[in-house]
Amino acid sequence: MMKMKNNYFLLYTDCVIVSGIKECLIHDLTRKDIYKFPQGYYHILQKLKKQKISEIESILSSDDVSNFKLLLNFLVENELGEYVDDISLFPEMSTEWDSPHQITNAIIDYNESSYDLNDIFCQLAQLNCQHIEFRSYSKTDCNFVSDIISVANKYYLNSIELILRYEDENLIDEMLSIMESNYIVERITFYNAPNNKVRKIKRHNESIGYIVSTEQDVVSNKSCGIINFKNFNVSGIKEYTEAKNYNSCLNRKVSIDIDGKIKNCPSMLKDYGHINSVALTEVVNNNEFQKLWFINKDKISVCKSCEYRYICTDCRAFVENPKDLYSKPLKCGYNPETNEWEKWSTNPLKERAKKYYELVL
Amino acid sequence: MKLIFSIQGDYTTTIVCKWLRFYNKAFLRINGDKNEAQFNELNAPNNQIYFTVNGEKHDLNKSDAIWYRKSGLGLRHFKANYMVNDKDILLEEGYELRNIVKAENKTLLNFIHNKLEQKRSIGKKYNADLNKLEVLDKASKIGLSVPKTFIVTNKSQLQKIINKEGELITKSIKDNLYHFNEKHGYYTYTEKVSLDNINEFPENFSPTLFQNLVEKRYELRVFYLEGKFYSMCVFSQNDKQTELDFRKYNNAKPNRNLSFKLPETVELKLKKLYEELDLDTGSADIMVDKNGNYIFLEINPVGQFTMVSTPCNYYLEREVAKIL
Repeated sequence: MMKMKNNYFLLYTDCVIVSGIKECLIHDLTRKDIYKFPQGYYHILQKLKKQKISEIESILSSDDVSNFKLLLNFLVENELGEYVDDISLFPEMSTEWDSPHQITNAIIDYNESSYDLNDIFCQLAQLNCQHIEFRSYSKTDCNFVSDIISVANKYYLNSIELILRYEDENLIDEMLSIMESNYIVERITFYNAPNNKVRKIKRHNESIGYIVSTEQDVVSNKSCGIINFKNFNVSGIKEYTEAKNYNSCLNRKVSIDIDGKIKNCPSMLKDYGHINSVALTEVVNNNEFQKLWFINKDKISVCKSCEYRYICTDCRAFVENPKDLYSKPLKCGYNPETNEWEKWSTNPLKERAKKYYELVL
Repeated sequence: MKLIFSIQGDYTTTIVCKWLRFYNKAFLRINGDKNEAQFNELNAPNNQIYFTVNGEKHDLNKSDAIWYRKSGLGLRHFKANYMVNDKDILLEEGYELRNIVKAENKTLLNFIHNKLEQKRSIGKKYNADLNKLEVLDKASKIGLSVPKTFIVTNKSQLQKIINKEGELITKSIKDNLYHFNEKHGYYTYTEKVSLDNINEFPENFSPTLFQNLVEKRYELRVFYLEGKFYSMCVFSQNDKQTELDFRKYNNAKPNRNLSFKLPETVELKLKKLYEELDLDTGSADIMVDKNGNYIFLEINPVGQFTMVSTPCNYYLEREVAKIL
């Protein structure tokens, strides 16, 4: 009979280590948590993957050995790992990301009469698009929303999210009843509302829909792209692997701005022609259009050494140096060298880019 | 065209279909639990097997690859039309006519399935229904460790076994119960049996399977597809709720499901077992005990594999779509 030796410590392979400058993180991709450690722990955590506990201890000073023991206890207590005989049975999880959807998500900015919605939904369906975020800048009524939902259903989309201008409480009541029976609608947000309120709608198929009213004015495209810890998505395997390989905001996304121009994101300046004259498939297969999909955080200056790089929402529309596609998001106030969040809009170094994008704050 | 046999709402099938679409491979999905397909005509000299699926006529024999995921063609896809007169005469007399028509259709159905599955296929209907006892027997002959298995019909036999072997588990000899009515859902899990709880047992019972309780370190779900193994380790032993049967999921603190490298010696034996059973795909349940022994439990030839694919990031649905 074999005897248990427990030579190694297995940091569960769904808990990935991300290095930073001053601190490193463990992302627990199954339970969707993050744990912060001083950066000094990064190499020790890495060593666990190959070396026996005794081997690691033999190169540490006695103070460090006791810290190391504390670390392992912490990992066990938080169910991030356990002692095993043979570490080679637990290969690291593949970090590949792939999807059968040529386009996974689309943003449509809509202002009365600018273009044919039915045609756009049809084109997106051909690209196997899963999710559409629909933002209306004009007056909406119940019939308009019902029409959108029926078009979305017709083309077998997975989910839609609507961002609408607040009109009155009646419209909200009507939307409540629409959401009860239309599972395809994940969320409806009313901007310019008199109050901030979140309503949850539990539906027959167990899914939950949300109606959010916000006092905020989300009309301007220039308000997008703010990097903020509370917006970070402590993600699962899908999101983590996508962010590791691709741009977490723009990968497999297509957008149509308020004028009907096809873009990576409605906030961007560059467009690829008008939806009435160019086919979406053509744009989506264009190498230049796809180029932005491949800008992952490991390629972006400053971000590449930031510990939050795989949960960050990123933004390629507003960057610190508008001439450099690989520069840090303009609206990020985090400094990974100091671990401090500052107000980005008052940073004098960002003045020039603010002017370039005509941002008034 | 790729032909897929599955059931409605099977998520694994839906993802494979998405990949097929992505690769521009035409496919026809027949859900065995729905009445969407009907047999139409078989023309042997011309090699045509016509079915009407969702109102459209298809020659199933035109497909170049088959994926038998689950269910398949059944009697419901061969409609029997009785004339009123027949009903008056023959149906009353022990449903004789009905039995004959059923047998006719069954013969036709088996022929069609076997004929289709001679094409390039993943999974086959004819061996989708394995005999657990036979599989255990074969596995043990190949040299895989299996739990000691007893089939017992009364309490005193059971008591003797427990006295000798210690705690046991019980599970079904064939399929688990999975039944819903308006008020309740009934399912069976693997349950522990010891001297503490056998008092509730009746003196005599129908033949029931018991196995010795494996003190597990963790358990493995091993998906097999055309010679390759994709293993996942489930750390279910740290949680009382999932200790005996990880399907009693703990949603607040999900078990760790990690990719796992099955030792080569176990892989080789398992491969031999799949070959003997003439299976090109399936999911095996294996336990690793406290001493590091690999104990083979069973093979499910039609198990869904998304539960392995997603946590291990294996993209198995893409693999199936590529093979088809």
